[in-house]
Amino acid sequence: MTGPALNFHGVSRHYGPHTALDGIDLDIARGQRVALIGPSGSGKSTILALANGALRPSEGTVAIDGVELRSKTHKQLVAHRKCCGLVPQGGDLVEQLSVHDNVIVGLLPRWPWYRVLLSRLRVVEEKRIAQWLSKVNLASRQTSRVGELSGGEKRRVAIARGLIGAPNIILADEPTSSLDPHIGEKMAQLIFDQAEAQESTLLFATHWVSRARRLAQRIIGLRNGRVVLDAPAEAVTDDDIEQLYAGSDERH
Amino acid sequence: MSGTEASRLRARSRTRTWLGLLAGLVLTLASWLETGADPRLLFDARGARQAADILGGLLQPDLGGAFLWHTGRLLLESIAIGVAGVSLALLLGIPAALGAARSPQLVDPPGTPTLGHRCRTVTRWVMRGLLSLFRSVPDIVWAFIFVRLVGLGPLAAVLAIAISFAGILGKLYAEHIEACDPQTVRNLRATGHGSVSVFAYSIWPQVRQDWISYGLIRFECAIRSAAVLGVVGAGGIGAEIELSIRYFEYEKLGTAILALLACMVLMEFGSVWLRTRASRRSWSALAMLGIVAIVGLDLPWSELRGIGQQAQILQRMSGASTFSFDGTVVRRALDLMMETLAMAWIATVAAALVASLLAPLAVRSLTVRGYLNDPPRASRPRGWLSLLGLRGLLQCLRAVPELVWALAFVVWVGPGPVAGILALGLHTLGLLGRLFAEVYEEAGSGGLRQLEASGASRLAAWTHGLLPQTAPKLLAYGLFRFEVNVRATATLGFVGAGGIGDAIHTAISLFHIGDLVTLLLVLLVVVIIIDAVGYQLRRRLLRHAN
Repeated sequence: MTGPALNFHGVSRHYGPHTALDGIDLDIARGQRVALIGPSGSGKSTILALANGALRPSEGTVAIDGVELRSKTHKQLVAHRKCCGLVPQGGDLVEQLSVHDNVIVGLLPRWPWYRVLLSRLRVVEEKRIAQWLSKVNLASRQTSRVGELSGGEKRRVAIARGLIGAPNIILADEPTSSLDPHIGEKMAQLIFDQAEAQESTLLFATHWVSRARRLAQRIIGLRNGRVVLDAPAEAVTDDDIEQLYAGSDERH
Repeated sequence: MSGTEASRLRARSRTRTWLGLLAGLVLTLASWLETGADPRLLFDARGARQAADILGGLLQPDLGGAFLWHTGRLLLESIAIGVAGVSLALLLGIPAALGAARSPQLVDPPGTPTLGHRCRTVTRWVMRGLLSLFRSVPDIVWAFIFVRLVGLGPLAAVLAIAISFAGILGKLYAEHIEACDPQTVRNLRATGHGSVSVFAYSIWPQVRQDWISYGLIRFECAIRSAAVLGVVGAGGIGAEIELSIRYFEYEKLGTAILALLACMVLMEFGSVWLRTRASRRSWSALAMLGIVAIVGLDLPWSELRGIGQQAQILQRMSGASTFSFDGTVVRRALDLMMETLAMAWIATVAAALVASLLAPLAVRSLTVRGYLNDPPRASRPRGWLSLLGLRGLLQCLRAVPELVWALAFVVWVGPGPVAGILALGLHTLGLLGRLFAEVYEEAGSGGLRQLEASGASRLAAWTHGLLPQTAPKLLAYGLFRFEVNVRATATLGFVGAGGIGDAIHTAISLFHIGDLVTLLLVLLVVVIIIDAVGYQLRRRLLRHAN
């Protein structure tokens, strides 16, 4: 099934006095693979949280397949979230659980309650998770506790967890930060391949512009909560990027 | 680590979990057999009628002006006893803690230990022994002993609370000192600071917050204790509760218990409020309150001078020689202690099980708020019902002290261990329910936010987010409750609810010092062993958690 279309209309989001998003309009087509770039604090994470149905827009509307988020009931919102695969920026892993149990969390939302309970009492889905762990180069770490892993390994656990449920929408928030270039490349490729194979809608926030231009279909550049660049990946020029990051030190 | 090795390791850890569960189950069954508790007693027709009568009294309390005034005064007296007791306990406990604690030292300094060092070591062990004695003898035993020595009234209760709480606070405060960040202390020691400056500039700033908040918690516990000590004639509202049960005046019982409930609930809010604003001012406020309470109670201090004489008189009256270690007494004491342990175990396990299942329904994040910061639609109106309802229920359960529950259950199911188990279980459920809910509330929201954002059910949030983060803590707290409950169970016999307390009560009443010492020694030794084992287990659990 192709992932849903996402429509942002005049969306702003304030955190107290701070404005994270300032009246943006975006239409993301079904199954489109989009890279969000821009300096830190430009609103990338906020867009992902809005698309996830986890954050209320201060102004404007966010619609998923034409249905506005705020008109959905709690139940419908949960149903939408179940279609989302998340790779959050902080990782958000449960340190006390093993790698295996953390990845299984990606499958839980769609399971009935007795299966959820059972999965804490005995090992389930061992093969499937092993398969995913080998995709993120963690095959030998299945039984380790997450607390013992390095930062880069944790990122990869989070990636496996986000992708394992074959989500319709993949929301990846700088999934390759704190990874070495080689592994980072591989992981980014994995996420884009997965999205392409499943025809999922992908929002991929990153600082790694060159990679984004190579993998994504469309590049959206954000600055100070505004969309300043929105073009097909092949149409983006070095000058555009220069302009987007002008006056800011960051950039890969 | 190779794959097979890893899976063997995991298999071993799973096996350990199952073995632990099995051991717990066997222990519970064995305990059940040991107490010979018969749950059918609950449904005995006559007992049920009595229970209905008590409930009727609670629903239709005596609200006559005169009795209400009387109840209010007794309640105030109980509060004053608690405040005065804790104030004295702090005066005793803080110096004792300083003596008993081993603050962080330099790792391996050159030079030989001086005489002063050796003296400190001796003092430390003496202090630790003394504190351990103070807290291991339950407060109601102290109270009853003091009632015999200084007469009926609040003085006995104040002394009892001062001594037993000094034991608890001294131990806790010493632990806080020992848990200080060693590096900061060593830095000062390494630059030649004396003990006063080490305390003032490194230890005090680190322990201050803990000392205040634990002091305040104890303050609350002391008032609860004070309300109970009246059962043995040491003043306050406990005396009224005991009398009204003995004379079947359930309307008066209703009034007294409701007043006690209201007081406890108010105090809980009060102490939460105080704890969040703990500051230098709360020390001075506490000190002022203590002075007011001690002055207001107008305690007959002169009685203290007559203690030795009174003890001799009682001794002569009892006709027993000073120390007669009798084999049969020891054996009986051991038997009763086993029963006590079994009761405490059953009640704690049952309460912990129910509490861990109920607690998620009393967690704000799980019932009403969720873990997302500002989701489009968050409120779950039905959640409020379970949240507030359950919190209220748990509060009522824990606001009534075990001994008062026991008084009521003895009327319902008759004297014996069943009454004790029920009393202990209900009170513990109230305590653990709240504690577990707090543990759940404080769990990091990292994994939980992710779970909710991907649409997982609240059950999944509990099993895969909360439980793995908190399970060792829950177990450790449950274990700690068991240790505390062993002491509590030892007092339930004072009202006929089984265990070793009955024998202790008789020994004090008749002033059979020999028997009393034997019984208390058995109690102390067992409590110390349980504490030591429990401490090791808890430490391993919590280390596993971090």
